[in-house]
Formats: sequence, C-alpha cells, structure tokens
Amino acid sequence: MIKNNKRGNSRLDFENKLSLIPKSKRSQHETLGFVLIVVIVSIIIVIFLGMAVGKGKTTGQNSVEISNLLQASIYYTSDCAINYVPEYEDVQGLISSCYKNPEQECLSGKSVCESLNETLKRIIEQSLRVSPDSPNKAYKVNVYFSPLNNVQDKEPILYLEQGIFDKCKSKPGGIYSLPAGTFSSSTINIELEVCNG
Amino acid sequence: MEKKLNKKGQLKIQEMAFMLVAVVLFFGLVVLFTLTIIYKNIYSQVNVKNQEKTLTSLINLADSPEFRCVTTKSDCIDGDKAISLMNRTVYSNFWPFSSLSVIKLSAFAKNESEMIKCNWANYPNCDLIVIYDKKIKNEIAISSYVAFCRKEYEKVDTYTGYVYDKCEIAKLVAGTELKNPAGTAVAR
Repeated sequence: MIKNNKRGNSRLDFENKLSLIPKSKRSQHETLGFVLIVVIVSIIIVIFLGMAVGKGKTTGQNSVEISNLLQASIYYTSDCAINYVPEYEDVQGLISSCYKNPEQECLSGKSVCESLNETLKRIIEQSLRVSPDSPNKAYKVNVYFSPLNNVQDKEPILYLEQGIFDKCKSKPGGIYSLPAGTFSSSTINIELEVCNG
Repeated sequence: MEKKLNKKGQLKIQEMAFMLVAVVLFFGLVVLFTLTIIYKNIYSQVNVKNQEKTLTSLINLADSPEFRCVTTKSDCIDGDKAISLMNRTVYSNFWPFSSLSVIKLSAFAKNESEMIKCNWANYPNCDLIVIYDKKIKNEIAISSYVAFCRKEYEKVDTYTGYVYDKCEIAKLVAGTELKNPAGTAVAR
C-alpha cells in the first residue's frame, strides 16, 4: 500500500492517482488533450499560412509613378499656340498663362484655361485609365497658387476629378511645384491623388 | 509478480520511445515547414529588392546621355535618340535590365499584340520602341512615366514648314529577371 501523503516519487503518485480515475473518464481526458493539441497546431499552421499568403499586392499606381506622371505631364505639348504656330504651349506654360491671364485665348479661339482643362484631363485619363472596374477607381487634380508667406491662403486655378474616393485600398499621390514668376518665390502647385481599389 | 512488473516497465519504455519519436518527427516537420516559408520569403525579398533596383535605375535612365532630351528637362527622353538605339545589341550588356522598351501614350490602352512596333519606316506613327529584349521567361516589367519629346515638322504650305519640339507622355518599361527557388530563369 502506498501512502498518498508521501512525497518523493511523484510519477508513481500520479500513476496511482490515474488508476483511481475510472477508465471512461481517463479516455475522455485523453481525447480532450488530443483535441487541444490538434487545435493549437491548427492555429499555428493557420498563422504561418496567413503570414505566407497574406502579402498581397495592389496592381494600381504607387506614389513614385504618380510623381513621375506629374513631372512628365508638365512638358506635354498642347494644341494651344498663343503667339504663333508652331509655338504650342506645354502644360506648364498653360498653367502659368491660366493663372496670370485667365481671359487669354489660343490662336484657335479657345481660352487657355479651357485648353489646360482639356489637355490635363486627356493626359490623366489616358495614362491612369480610371474606371470602377480598373485598379485606379478615381482621381483628383488640384492646381493652385500658393503664396510664399501664407501657405494656407491657396488660390485655386483648376480642379479636376473623376470617380468616387470610396473604399480605396491606397491613395497614392504626388505634388509638383512650379515657380509662379521669375522674381517671385511663390509657387503654383499641381496635386494629383489616385484611389486604388 | 516481478516478471509481470518487468514486462509492464518494458511496455512503458516502448511507449515512451514511440512518443519521443513522434514528438521529434512532429517538431522536425514544423521546423521543415518554417524553413520552407523562410526560404520562400528570402526569394521574394530578393525579387522585391531587384524590382526596386530596376525602378531606381529606370528613373535615372531617362536622365542618361543616351536618352536625355536636348533641352534641360528632367525625366524626359528624346524619341529620336530612342529610335536610333533600337536593335543595338551592345546595350543589352550595358544596362542591368533583361529588356528595355518605350510605350507611347497612344498605346496605354492597347494590348501588347495590338501595339504597332516602331521601325525607321513608321516612326513616329507607332506605339512601341523595343530597345532590346533578352527574351527571359521569368520576367517582371517595371515602368516609369517619362516625357517623350521629338522634333516635329509642321507643314504650312508646299514650300514652307516649321520644326518644333513636340512632347507627349510615354512609359519607359524595363524587365527584371524573377528568381525562383527552382533555379534561375530560363531563356524563352
């Protein structure tokens, strides 16, 4: 007979205690233990798989591309000549003319601001292919004058948008600054933001 | 009685041995699984780094003497220089890309099969200038928007005309080889 209160051989004690538990209950305990192990192992596997698979990529544009697109856009030659043909204005020149003299017209009779609107819209729509079914769901372009001393006091020049900025996975964007005048430190900024879904 | 106890002990040792083998096997499998994931991650990190490297090189490429516009525009490539670089195989070893091409704005909405490949006869009324292509099978294309400028001749009447700089948007597309655990990429 082994005394229960005797310390020392604990394994023997444990086995004796086990033998006191009815067989059906013991198998229940074992099953429970097995299920617990299976659950823990499954959780670990799921976490590992999640880490391995969950690194998905969006196929839309990133901010570097958007900045490059903005920079390339300002050199785009429009069909608006102000002084003579073939001195066609680029987007940079159109923005500057539209800010300084919005009433100015191209030789074709279109106003410079109208020509800027059409040109910028065409460039962005053809480059980004914005539609609800494509990776680029929406975009907005904001062209504004920003005085040097007062950054808050923005003077809008042009605003364009297409699509709805809703449920965007990421919103890459870029900004490009042009000097507002030869002797001025103020800038004209072009901001482009895209909704990647 | 003693013999019975001995047999029981042997059984217990056997049971423990089996259990130890099972535990070692289980942890072995777990380690193997973890190593596989780590190994796969190393390759994907290599690929991401290569893509980043390609993108950086690509951005700088537009300002290299081979492509740079005559005017002081940054991120601007000279279309007339690009067309003259076409099919010059020496450049395939000069730049760290598996392929290099320029896609004009007119082709952004087109599939590769629909694009009109540029040659001396149809330039500039074409979509795609292929500088070189090493024909790598496992390749990912990285692109960057650039201004694409060229000299345009505008006819006024039978005898007179003007030449001016015409700029549009284009994509400079560079291919980078994708590494995979099975080995390096195979030629197409």
